[in-house]
Amino acid sequence: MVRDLLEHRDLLWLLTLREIRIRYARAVLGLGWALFVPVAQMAAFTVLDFGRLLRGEDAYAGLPYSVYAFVGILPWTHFAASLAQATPSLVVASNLLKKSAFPREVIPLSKVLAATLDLLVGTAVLGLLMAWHGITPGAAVLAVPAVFLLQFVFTVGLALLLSAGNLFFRDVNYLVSVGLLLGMFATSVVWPVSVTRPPWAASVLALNPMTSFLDAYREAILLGRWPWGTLLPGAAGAVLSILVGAAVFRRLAPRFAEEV
Amino acid sequence: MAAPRIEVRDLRKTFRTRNRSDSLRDALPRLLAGIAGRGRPPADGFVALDGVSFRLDEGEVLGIVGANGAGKSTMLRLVAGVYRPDGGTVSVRGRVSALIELSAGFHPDLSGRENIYLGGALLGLRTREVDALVEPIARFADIGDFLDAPVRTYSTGMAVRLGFAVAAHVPAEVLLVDEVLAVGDIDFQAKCLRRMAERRGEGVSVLIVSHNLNVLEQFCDRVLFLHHGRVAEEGEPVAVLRAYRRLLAEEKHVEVLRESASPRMRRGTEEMVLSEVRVGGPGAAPGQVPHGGRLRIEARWRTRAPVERPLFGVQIHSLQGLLCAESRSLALAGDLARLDGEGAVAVEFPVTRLLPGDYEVTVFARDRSGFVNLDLHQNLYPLRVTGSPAPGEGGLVALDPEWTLARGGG
Repeated sequence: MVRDLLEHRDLLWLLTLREIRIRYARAVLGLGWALFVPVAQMAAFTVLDFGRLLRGEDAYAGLPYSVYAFVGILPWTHFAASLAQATPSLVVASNLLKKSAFPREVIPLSKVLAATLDLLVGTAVLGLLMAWHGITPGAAVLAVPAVFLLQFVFTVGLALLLSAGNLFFRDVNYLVSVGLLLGMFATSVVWPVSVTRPPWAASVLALNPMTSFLDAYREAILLGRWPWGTLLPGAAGAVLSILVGAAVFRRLAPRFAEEV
Repeated sequence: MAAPRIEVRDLRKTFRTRNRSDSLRDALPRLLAGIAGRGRPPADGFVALDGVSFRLDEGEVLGIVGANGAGKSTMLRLVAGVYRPDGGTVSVRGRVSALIELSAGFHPDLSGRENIYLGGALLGLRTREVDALVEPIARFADIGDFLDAPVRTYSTGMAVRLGFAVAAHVPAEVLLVDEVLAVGDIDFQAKCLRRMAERRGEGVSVLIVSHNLNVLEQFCDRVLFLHHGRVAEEGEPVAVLRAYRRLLAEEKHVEVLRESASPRMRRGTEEMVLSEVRVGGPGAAPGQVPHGGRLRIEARWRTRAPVERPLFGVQIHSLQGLLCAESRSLALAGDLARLDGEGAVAVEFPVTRLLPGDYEVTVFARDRSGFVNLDLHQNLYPLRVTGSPAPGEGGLVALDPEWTLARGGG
C-alpha cells in the first residue's frame, strides 16, 4: 500500500492542488473563506461570554478566552472539514474509479491534505492574535507539529473508514454531519471538558482523542508545557484509527468500481 | 516461449443487479463480507464473464468483438485492474494504459493540459515525466488552443482525440482501447491505427474493442469473440469475424444488435405527426426485406392545422452511423401544396441493393424550408436485409458487378 502510494505521490499532490483550486478559484474572497468561519466562531463564542466556563480552570486564568477558543476551533475545523469533504469523496470520484486503477487512498487523503492549507493560514492568524495579546509561546510550542501529525493520522484513518463506508451505504454521509455536530459538544473545542456534569462524564470525554489533541495544543502553545501526558489518548486513537481505517479500506477498495 | 504480457485464466465476474432502494439490511452484510475478505458474488446477479481465458504476448494486437452485454468492457476493466475477478486470474506484466469509455477519466473543470498531467499521474508517472509527453500528446490530439480550455467546453470528438492521445503516449506495456474507432472522422481513425501500429512496433501489447469489423480484420493479429460472457471463438481474424458476422445475421433478437453509432430519438414541432410507421418487404416479416427484394416504408400522417408544402423523407443508416440512402418526397411536389387532416404516405424501393445486415430507418416530415422537423423519428425502425451476399461481395451495397479479363498486350 505504502509503495503504491509513493509511486502515485504526484497524483496525490495534483488532486490536492485541484481540490484547493476548485474550492477557492471561483470565490471572490478566496482563502479569506478559510478564515471567516473559525474567526466568526471565535468572535461569537467570545461575545456570548463562553469564557465564564473557563473559570474553574486555574491554568488558563489570565489568558484571553478568545485565544483559548481559537486554539481549539482551528484544529477542530480541520478535522470537521476533512471528514465532511472526505466522506463523500469516493462517490464523487466515481468517474475516476471506473476508468483507472490507482491506489484509491489518494482520493480521501487529498481532501485531508487540502484542508491543511486552511489550517496553516489560520495558524498565521493565531500568531497575530497572540502577538496582539502579548502572549509569547515557550519552547513547548515545538511539540505542535508532533500533535498535528497525530491528529492528521487520526483524521486520515477516519477518512478512509468513512469514505469507504459511504460508498456502500450513502447514509454514512448524513451520519458524519450529525456526528460532527454532536462531536463538537463532546470535545473541548470552546470550553474545557471539566464543565461536564456529572464529573465521571468529564473523565470519559477526556478520553476523546480530539479533546486530547486540542488540550495538547493549548498546553504547548498557551501554557508552555510539554503535552505528552495529555496526548496519550490521542496517540492511542491515532494508531487505532489508522490501523482500522487502512485495513478496512484495503479490503473494500477492489470493489469500489462496481459499488459506486 | 516468453511469458505472456497478459494471461487470463477462467475469468468470472458477476454483478449485483442494481437495486436503487438499497436498504441497510442489504448493504450491511455486503459491507461486512467485503471487510471479512471474500465477498461472494451475488447468486442472482448478472453473469458478465463466465470462464474466459486468453493470452496476449509482447507486441501482439488482440481484437475483441461481441454484442452489447457480451462482457467486452467488463473484461477490459478486469485487465486494467479496475474490477476484481470473482473467479479465475488475470495476470498482467507491466503498466496498463487504458482508454475505457472514451475520455479516460477526464475532469471536466480542468483544462486539457491539466488533464494530461492527471492522466499521467493516475498511471503513477511523475510530473516531470509527463512534462516531456505534453507536446507530442497535444500535437497528436490536434485541438489547438482548446488545450488550455476546460474539458467541459470540448466537443465529443475533441475529448476523444485527447483521451486517445494521452492513452497512446504514456509509457505502458499494455494499451487497452475501448471503441475509440466509433467516434471521430476517418482521418482520425487512420491516425489512431497508425499510432497503435507504432506502439505495437515498440513491443506494446494492444487490446482493442471495436464494432468496426473491417478495421479489426486488417489490424489485429488475433480476434476474440465473446458471446454471453464466454469465448465463442478465438484466433485468426478473418475466421473469427466470419463467425461473428454469421451470429449477427442469425440472431433472433434485434435488440442485441442495435449498437447504433448515432442516437435514436423523436422530436419535432408536431404541427404534423407521423404514426404507424411500417418498414419491410411485401410478404416479408416486419422490419425485414430480402436482399434484392422490394422495400416499402410507409406511415400515417395527421396535421394539427393545415401545412403548406411539407416534405417527407426517409433515411437508412448502417449501425455504424453511415448514411446509406436517403430519399425525399420531391416527386410528390404538386400533391403536397397543402395538407390538412390525415392520410398515408409511402415510398418503395424496387431493388434493395443493400447487402445483408442490420440497418436503421429514419422517417421525417419537415416544413417547406426542408430544415425544420415537424416530426422526426431518427433511427427508430430497425431494418434487416436478409439473405447472404454473393461470394466475393463486401461493403454496403451490391452494384451488380460484371468482371472481364483480358490476356496479352493490347
